[in-house]
Amino acid sequence: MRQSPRAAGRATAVPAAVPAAASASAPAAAPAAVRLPAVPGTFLRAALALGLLIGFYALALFVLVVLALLDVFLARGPAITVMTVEGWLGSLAVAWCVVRVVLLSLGPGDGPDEIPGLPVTPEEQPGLWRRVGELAERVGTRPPVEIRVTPGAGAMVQEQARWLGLVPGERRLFLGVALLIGLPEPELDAVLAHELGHYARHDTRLGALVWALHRRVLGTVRTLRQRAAREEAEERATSAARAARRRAAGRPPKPERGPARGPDHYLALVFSAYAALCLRLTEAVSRRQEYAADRTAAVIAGRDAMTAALRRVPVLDAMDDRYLRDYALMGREARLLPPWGQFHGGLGHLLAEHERRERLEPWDRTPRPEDTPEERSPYDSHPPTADRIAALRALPDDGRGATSVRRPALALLRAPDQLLAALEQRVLGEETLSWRRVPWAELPTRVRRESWAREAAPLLAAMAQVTGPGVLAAPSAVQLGHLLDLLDHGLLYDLAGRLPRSERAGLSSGRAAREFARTALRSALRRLALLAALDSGLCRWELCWSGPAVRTVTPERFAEALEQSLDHAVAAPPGTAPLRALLLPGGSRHPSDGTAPPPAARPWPPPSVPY
Amino acid sequence: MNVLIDIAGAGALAYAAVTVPRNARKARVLRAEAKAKAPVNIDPAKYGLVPAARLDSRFAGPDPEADAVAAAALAGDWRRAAGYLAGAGRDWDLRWYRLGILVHAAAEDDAWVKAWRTAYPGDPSAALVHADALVVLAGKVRGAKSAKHTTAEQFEGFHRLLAEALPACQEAAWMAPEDPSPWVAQLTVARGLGWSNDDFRALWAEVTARDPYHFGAHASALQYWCAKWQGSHELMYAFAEQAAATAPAGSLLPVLRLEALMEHSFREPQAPVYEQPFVHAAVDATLDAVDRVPPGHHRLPAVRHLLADALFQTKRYAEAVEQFGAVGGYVGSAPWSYSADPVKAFVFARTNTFVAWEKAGRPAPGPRGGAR
Repeated sequence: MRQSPRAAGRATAVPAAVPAAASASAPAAAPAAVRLPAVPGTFLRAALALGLLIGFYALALFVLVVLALLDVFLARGPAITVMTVEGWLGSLAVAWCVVRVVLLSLGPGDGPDEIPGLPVTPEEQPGLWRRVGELAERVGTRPPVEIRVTPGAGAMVQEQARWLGLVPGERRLFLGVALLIGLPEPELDAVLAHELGHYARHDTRLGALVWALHRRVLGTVRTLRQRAAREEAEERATSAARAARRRAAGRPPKPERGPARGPDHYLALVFSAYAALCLRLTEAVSRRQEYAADRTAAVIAGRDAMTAALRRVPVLDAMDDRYLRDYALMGREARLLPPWGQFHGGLGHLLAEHERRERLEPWDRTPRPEDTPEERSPYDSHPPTADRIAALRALPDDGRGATSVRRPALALLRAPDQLLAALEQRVLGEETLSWRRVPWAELPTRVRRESWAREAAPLLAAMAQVTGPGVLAAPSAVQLGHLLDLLDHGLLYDLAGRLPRSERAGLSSGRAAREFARTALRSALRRLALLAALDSGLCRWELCWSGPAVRTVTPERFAEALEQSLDHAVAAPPGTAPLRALLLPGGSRHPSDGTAPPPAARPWPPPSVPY
Repeated sequence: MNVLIDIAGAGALAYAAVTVPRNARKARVLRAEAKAKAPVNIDPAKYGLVPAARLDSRFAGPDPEADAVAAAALAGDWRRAAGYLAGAGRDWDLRWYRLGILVHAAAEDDAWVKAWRTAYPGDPSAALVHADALVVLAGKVRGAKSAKHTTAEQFEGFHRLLAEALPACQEAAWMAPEDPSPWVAQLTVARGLGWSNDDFRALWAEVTARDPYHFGAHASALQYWCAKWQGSHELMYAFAEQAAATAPAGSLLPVLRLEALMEHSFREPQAPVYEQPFVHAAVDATLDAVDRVPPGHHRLPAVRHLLADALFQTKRYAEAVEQFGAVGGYVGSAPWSYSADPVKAFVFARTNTFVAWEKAGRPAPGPRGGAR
């Protein structure tokens, strides 16, 4: 969150770390909220940021001055000794580092990082723009010139102000798509009013200055650390080379010395401490700004709507994470995607799921985030959600109450499906966009079929070597039938010997090698059996929006029966009947039904394959 | 510019003035340390020992008959193998020892076992070889590394083979009710499948009912009671002590205490394992047991290896010299086989023993019992 560019007033979404009260403040949450720290005025905040930035350069100059004083003292000593010369040289080295790293370099990355997202114009989405315009008017500030829909459940504003933030500039609003899908309209209003509240009180304008400060200080610390690490690595490499030379010459290696640390290391320590101070001070201010923006939002959108939004957003964020991992990216190994517009939009299905909704609803009223303890750090840019809720509760009831209408904010949008599709196009990588689109209901099945087919492919290739290439095109049940025929003929080791071998298996010999081959064959056979079960409709893998993402529908005790019959199939005299009974009801029982290899065509019994 | 060159030159001189004496000092210290740590070498021929290059790390000791039987079996002569096994008679531990020879051949190639079983389907010995070979094969598939360094594929083969071995052992036991061997084979299965202590004790009762002082069974059960399998140091020491204390005269079971000590020291290399109070008495008891068995006893080489190591660890060099001399040119036994390089481990212990013995003026072994 912190590295977001020029984002003074950042999202109401504090992702992942689900907010709540530290145990100490939980019982007395409401009274504590009364004495809210006041936000310093714009001028004061500008002075703080500017002072810290100037202090950074002053620190560098201070180091230089200290070095110069040291040199003077050395020169005033009784005589010029080796110590004096070493001192001069050392101070020169440190001074050079200060000048080179701290004062001259600007650090990597000069502009703000581009946030991936889809800009929406007023023509495309008049409803959303009108709503933002209205809210801005009520907050009493200029509306943004650009609204961008981003992935995730965050909202944020930024302003490209000039002259260290004293002159206002272009404003942008970033709105997470999960908020549009998951928040009811009044709560989205609250979130928008909170963000616009940052504009109104010029939080965003100083964002540029604060951001410049962070970039400068953190960039310097990073450079110093990188240089120190590089130096240390070089030192190690040379000493290792030296030791190798000595070993080669037959002399004992030198004693291990600790790695020598250059001036960069010690400078990094000094500037890290300063960076920590900067972060503490500026983030403390930005935390106060959050309280103020919350109050603005409560006035505009209603106290209870803002409270509900504060509670719902972390939940939405967690659900969005889970949704992307378990649903949207379900087919990443098989390179499959849900239909257009569903990569982000499918979150709606998950939210609409009745069971989840029931679990989600009570959070509107119960003080859930306040119950779980939360880590607090002086470097957080946002206060704990529990404290923010407590502060809102301390406000007088405005009588508007919590939202009861469950109209999602998506209703504000015109043609939401097109917007979601365009967002996908904008956000996903080229490689990902080339994946095939599959309807939701087919996705779990297709994913499994592709991965099992891939894993069974070596076995099919081995079969093709034995029986001819015809088997490759056959349906999986026929392939399985052929394979079991081959096993019945005693060709287990012949087939297994053609499968790729693991490293350990390659090291073994004799009976042990044959056992490794048997393990490999069983594993491939298992994939083929599952494939046959899937193709025949015996087992189904269904998408499920409640509970785990995929529900497996199998006959009773199928899993145990499958494992047992696989064991029988690869046993020493093969017993393929259980597997046939399980997966190929009414299938070919006879080994030579025309498709299996004619026994005469191969030497019989099979030649012992050299393992 | 000249000033800069002067400064650089002065800096280099200053640096040299500081670092050269310091490095010289460190090098001196290091040379002294290296000299103290340098590997000591002895001339093996001087003491009548086998040089390191000719040490045999496959076997614990010489057994030409066993080698010949194994080679014949692999060549297809199962009748000789059957006769060799039958020759052990009712000396159950000797039978178990000979079974081990055959089973290692069968785990390599089992064509001869199949031929034997086809010729005599009801032969309990053939069933026994088949069953125990599955156990040994399972161990080969798993490998001897710890679970962390064993792949899922190895475990799958291991467990499948053990699952096949168990009914085979039970069938062999059913065919020869008096023979403890099928039950001893199951001890390994129980260890591999992680049986509970109670289940294991029930199995152990079947073994001891048939032969209460079976050496191979005790060695296998001790492994089960180790901390690395399903036991602990306490259970392991208790088992070893109980077995050693109740063993009749002429049994080599007292060596179990030394085996337990060795397991402990491998598990915790830093622990003062050999400084426990009972160690000297345990070594004495093992020396006495070794003196009582006939010189050609089939378990003697393995016992001597453990004894030599324990004597070296307890700094009883005069007695260790005797044992190292007696084991000859074989190192294929615990504790050396536990090391990544058994020959190196063996040579290290042997060399240091002889050096220390030489330093002490080649003393003769002291009297045992009260003296120590």
